[in-house]
Amino acid sequence: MAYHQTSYFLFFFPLAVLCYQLTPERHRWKTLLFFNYLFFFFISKKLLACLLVSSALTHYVGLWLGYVKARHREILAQTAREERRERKQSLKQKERRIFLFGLLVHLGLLLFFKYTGFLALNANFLLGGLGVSARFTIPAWAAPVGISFYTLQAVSYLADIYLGKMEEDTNLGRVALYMSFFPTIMEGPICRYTETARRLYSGAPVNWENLTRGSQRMIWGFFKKLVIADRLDILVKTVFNGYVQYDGAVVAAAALGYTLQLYAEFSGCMDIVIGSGEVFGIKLPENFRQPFFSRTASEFWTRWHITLGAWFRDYIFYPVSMSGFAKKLNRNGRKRLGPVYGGIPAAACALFAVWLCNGIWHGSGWHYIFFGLYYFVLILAGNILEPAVKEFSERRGIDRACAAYRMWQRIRTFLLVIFGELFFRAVSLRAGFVMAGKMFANFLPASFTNGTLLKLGLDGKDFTVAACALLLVFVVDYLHERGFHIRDKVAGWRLPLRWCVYYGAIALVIVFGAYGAGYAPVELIYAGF
Amino acid sequence: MRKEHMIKAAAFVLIGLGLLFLAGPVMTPKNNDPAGGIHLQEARGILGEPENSIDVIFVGDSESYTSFCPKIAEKKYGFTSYVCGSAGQRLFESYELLQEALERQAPKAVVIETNCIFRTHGWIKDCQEIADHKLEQLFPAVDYHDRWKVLTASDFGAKPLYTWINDQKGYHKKKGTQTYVGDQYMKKSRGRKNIRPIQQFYLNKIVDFCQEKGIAVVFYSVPSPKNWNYEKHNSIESYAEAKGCIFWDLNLKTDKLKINWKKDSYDGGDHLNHTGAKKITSYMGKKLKKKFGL
Repeated sequence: MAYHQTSYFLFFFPLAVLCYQLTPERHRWKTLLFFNYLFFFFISKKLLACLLVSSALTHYVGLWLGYVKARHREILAQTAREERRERKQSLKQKERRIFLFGLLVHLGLLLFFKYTGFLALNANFLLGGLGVSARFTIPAWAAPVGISFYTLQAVSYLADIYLGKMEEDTNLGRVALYMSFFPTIMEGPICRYTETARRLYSGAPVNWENLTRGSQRMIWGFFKKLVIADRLDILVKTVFNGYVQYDGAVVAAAALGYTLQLYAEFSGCMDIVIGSGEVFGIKLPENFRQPFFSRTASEFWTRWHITLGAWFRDYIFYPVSMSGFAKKLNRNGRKRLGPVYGGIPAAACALFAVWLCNGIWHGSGWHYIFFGLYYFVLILAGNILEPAVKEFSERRGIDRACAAYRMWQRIRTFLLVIFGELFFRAVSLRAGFVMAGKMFANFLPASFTNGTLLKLGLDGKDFTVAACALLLVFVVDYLHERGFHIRDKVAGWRLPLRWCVYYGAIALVIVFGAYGAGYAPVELIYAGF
Repeated sequence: MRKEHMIKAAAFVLIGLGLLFLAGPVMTPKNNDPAGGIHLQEARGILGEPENSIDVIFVGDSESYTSFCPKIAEKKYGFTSYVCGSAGQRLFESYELLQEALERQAPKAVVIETNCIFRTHGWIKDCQEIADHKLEQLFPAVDYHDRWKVLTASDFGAKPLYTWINDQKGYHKKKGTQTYVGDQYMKKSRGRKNIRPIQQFYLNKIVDFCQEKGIAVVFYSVPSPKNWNYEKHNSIESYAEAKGCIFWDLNLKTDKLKINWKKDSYDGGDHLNHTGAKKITSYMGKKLKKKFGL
């Protein structure tokens, strides 16, 4: 089951909403929890045990941390002022050990399910290089659905208690709901405890406004996923799986196609997810904010997969930046390189940690690690070059705030994103380099005009539909960027007109969606991460 | 939610379903020819056959359409047949194809290749597939949504008229050869491979449907080391006996049929090639002719 399949939106979701609504308010959270686990079971079967273990672990380690912190506060209150600092540090050590225990168990589970095969494969490669004949068996077990997402949620819960940003929750049901909410379990968004847990538990009734607004958002998501993403998947899969036989122009078209596919797919899925949450009255955090309007790579990551970027910022970038090592590096850097460039070595350490983790999080493959480090280089280079570019622009009288310059920045960022996605989608790092090489050494512009693109699984009519749909998405994104929200506008129209728009949107999805006979089912991309 | 809102929601859904239902005849293919866009087009070639002209109808997955050649059977034994098989056919599809075919045909026998009886993707996915299939049956506009590419003015108002005839009568001629290198695969056993409840449900529907129409049901298993074993044989044997059907397991007759695994399979023992199919057709043709007086 997945969010874009009929089994979800025609059966599971309406049934969940109906049962939720029919349950007395104080028991609604139990109904929701039941459907959360049912959804998980439908996809991962007995691996549901992993989610149960993770939820219980998160809850009890949280309680333990909370208890110890409260106890430590009492001890500190009774400690003489002059001894307090030393005592506080030793008590903090104990809290850290508890937090690290919870963290390592969660990361251990993630490592076990997601990366054992990758590690075994690389260990075998090393052993082969060293002339050792022994080999590790490559495991072929499946990972529980959404393990990458709910693990990050669990870690953020524990970290926030450890850092004193919030109190532990004594209610296991609430923690279990937070960890397993079915619309978010497959692809996020990665929620924070304070954002969703209490609302999930409250059992607020489904109301008309939430139902209609949530459904609207879901339809828009289905449009992006089924009309654009699943259609482009045909071309993307053909080229990326058989890249050897195509020239650089076709590879470039596929890289562009994949970038647009991924955006339509992931943001479309987020629309379905956020819409589903909205029906239950849960406001989930946004994961996209018109990313292709970004002017720099770092801005792109504040608009693309926002909750992942925010997670890495809060739980990796800040802690590394505030570590003793980084502070020392910063001091030394400022002394030796001056105030402009002095902070860069320390920032580079924190950035490196963030982007390495980002790459690893996305999957077990060297191309994912390369993808993460690609952004590390881009963002670091941006930071290093910024003062020089600023000085150059001022000297040459270039207005960096003018529309033309901003447009150039957006196009440049878009091209850099496409290049990164090429490696992200490539079947291996080597394949990524071969494909990138073709774009520079074997680019045949004739491929755009001699019909080559029409032999990749999409005919002219498919390209026309994809182009029109993308144009519509672009217009909507542009209006959002300008602060104009179409949903609010449509909601204000008279009923006949409003319903015509809704029926029209549904008809577009049904008729132009790339599903059913003649189309291979397309799994959700991020559900695999 | 207030009552007024519930009425509004119900009205929205009902009007939407009504519109979808009305769009069905427009999107439905108007012919069963390759240009018409009908699904399972080769299996649905039977819709273009003259009324009451087919003596035996075969259903099943790829094992069926690669193993029995109706043209050879007609030439050798004088009866007509059609293979309504399709790749990876599920029993609910077999049932649907049979329902469509039996609207205009009155065969003496329906022959079910047994491999499809054990095809399952797990009960959850099986249920999903059936639900999707039901939805598509109910709303042809969903099933044939992709026909927007070939839609013409004649699609509005015209009724389907099936005129295309499949020369091969559903048979797929496979020419290559790939040797099967495994051991003897039909090792006697008392074990059984269970027929899953969903499959059993549709199998019962097919058998009951045929028997109600007075059509004999024959189960047959094409020699296939990759797919067949004695446990499956035992299950089908019991089922056929319980339902009063015939079961011919050709996997137990490979010596009599002179199946040569070095020459008679095109993919290493999964499916038969044309040489193997000729042997099966001869054997089955003879048996069917004798049994049903065709």
